[in-house]
Amino acid sequence: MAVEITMPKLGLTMEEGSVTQWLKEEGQPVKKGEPLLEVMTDKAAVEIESPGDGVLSFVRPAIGETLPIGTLLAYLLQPGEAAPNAGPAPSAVAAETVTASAAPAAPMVPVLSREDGGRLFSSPAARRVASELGIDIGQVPGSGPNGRIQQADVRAFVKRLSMEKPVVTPLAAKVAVDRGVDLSQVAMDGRRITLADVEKAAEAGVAELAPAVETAPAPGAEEEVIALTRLRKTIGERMLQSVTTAPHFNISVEIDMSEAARLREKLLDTVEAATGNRLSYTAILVKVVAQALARHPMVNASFDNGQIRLHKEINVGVAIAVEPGLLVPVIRAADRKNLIEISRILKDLQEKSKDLKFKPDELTGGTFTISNLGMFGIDEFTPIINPPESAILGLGQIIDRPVAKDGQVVIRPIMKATLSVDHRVLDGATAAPFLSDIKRTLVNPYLLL
Amino acid sequence: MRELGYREAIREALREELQRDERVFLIGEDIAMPFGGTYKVTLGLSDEFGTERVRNTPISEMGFLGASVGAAITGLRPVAELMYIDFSGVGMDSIVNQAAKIRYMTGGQAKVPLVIRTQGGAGRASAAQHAQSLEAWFLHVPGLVVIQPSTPYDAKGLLKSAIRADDPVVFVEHKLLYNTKGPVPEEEYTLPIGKAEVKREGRDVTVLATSLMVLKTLAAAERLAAEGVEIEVVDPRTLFPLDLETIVESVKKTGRLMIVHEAVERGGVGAEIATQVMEKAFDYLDAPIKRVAALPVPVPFAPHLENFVIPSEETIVEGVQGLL
Repeated sequence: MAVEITMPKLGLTMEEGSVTQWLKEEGQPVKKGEPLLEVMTDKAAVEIESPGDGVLSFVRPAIGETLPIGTLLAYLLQPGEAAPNAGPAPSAVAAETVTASAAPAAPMVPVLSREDGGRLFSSPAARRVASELGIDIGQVPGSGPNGRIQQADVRAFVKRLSMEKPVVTPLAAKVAVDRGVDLSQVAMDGRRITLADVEKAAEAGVAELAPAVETAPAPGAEEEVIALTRLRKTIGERMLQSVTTAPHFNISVEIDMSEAARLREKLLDTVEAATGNRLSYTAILVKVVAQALARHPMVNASFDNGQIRLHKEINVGVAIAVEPGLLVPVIRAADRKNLIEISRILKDLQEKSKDLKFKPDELTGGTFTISNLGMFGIDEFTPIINPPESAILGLGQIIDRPVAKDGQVVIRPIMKATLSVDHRVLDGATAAPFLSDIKRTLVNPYLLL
Repeated sequence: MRELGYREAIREALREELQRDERVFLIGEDIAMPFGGTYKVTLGLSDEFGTERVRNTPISEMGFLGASVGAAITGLRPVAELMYIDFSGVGMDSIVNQAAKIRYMTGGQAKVPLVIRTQGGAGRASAAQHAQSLEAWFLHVPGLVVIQPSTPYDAKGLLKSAIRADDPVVFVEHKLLYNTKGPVPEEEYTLPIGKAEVKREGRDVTVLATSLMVLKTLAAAERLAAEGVEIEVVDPRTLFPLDLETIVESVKKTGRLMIVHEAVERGGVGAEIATQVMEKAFDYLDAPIKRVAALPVPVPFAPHLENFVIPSEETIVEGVQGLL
């Protein structure tokens, strides 16, 4: 008998909670009493013990999602037990339908089973239509012989669903609006719609679901519609992931760049002689940031599955605008490179960005990112953290501004810098010193020595 | 367009080809005048073309089929008439081991442009040895083209193509089709071998039917349409080479296939076609493929038993209803 794991009622007044993490993995055997998962109520996080023995299966992918008490979260299956059909099976059935639609030429033969352990009968055509429409065929009532699910049953099911108002989590609703996802096209299998469903639908391009259902989208819209390039799509997805998983906060400083400018002046010839190009402020910033990261290891970290990982290497990424969008090539071990090397690498990366001929390791492994919009005349901006990093530095233009110095108003070249930080990893008290460090070094570059 | 009988359409094809190509000749039992063929198909032809080109033979299938093969490989274009398909057993070696294989076994040095016209089918109380549908026997032999026309238009066009083709063709007519009539153009025409025809469009079930069963199925279609069921009737016309594409296209549309043939269900051409469709269009099948065909018994003599054994309009309608 499968043991059901449901959202527990941990207090008299508790009505809903969320799973913050599973302490066992899908497929792992669990014994009664062992810590199984962690649930967050609005008051505190509580560790939940397993109510029975079994193999953890069909874990509902809903970390962080608020669910009513009693919601089915997973099963503990006995060895050799058939998988129950109704319930949080989206991972299993979705996997079958995903692989089925990924290989349309191969006939689909998933053996699904009903709660009573019996087989589910469906015609090949019904299975094909279900996978095209993204339906969990196990949810469709069958009207054929032996309860066989036929094409018409799938289509009738879809029609019924599209007429019902879908139940949506608040976050999913917001994201759906932001991403322009038509909720009536999402999650056709009757569950409440979660963020993952919206993202998957947006990813799949909701228009792909629509034509299979009766009402096809009207061709030839009036506005200009630009199809997403892969890069654009990826940027969108990652930035969305970043803002929705990492709680951002920002701190900013205004930096007097007079000394940094002087340093640059002095080094221009040397760098030009060594590399053939002019030393840029970005190169200087990479060096400064890299050193600061060495002194503040908490900033050179990632939030990973409930843990904070401090990275050994300091790989500073530099955001570069390319024709289809944005790339962040990485300068590896930036703390161990001198300005000449950094300048050379930076120039090389900028060259490569023209025709996107990067080596894979030039685009991966970053631990921190710098984004400079100064060349566009931007004073300041709040960048979005580049996952899985924990912080990103946004730089504005260096422009003469009046500042107070020793009681006088003087003109100084000022650069505004904004650090966006992942609050899961850093607080104001740990992020601020890092930014101050950068400011201090730029104001007095001799500290670089 | 003029209406012509199936029998007359075939006769016209033979006449036109006899006129067109002096190498064409007819050979068979009782085909010359005054008899003009047991079903009167060759009526008048020996008067017009003489008895060298329209030759009577004794009851000797092995003999005249063998002679036809010899004639074919030495440069003539014989159209042999096998009076009943039930008699093909007597001349089987000439068909299966000689006609079908000589081109292959001579490495193409000899070809066998032979047409064996024959007829089968029940409905005239001809009894077990004169009412069979044996096209499956020939479908199974590589090297033979097998054609089974259901209308006068198809019969004339396909017979002309068969005579002009350089391969041995078994051309299977139906004794109950001879009296049917249909539109046939005055102008000369041929039809391509290996092309099916959608005889009636529909969207609920694809019904593939051959020979006389096409007519029964079209009648069933009318009855079903009255109930709101629209079947698509597909006539393969040529069994080999089979136009699987047209059949699959129809199945993709409807999701359901039923095959109707007068031959015994077991080992019939329906089984072969069903399997090919399953292979090609598995993901489009919404129901198992169904066959409506003759019961596995020798065709009875008593008319009511004969009718019971072979598919009828009734059993075709029931078959379709069972599929929905």
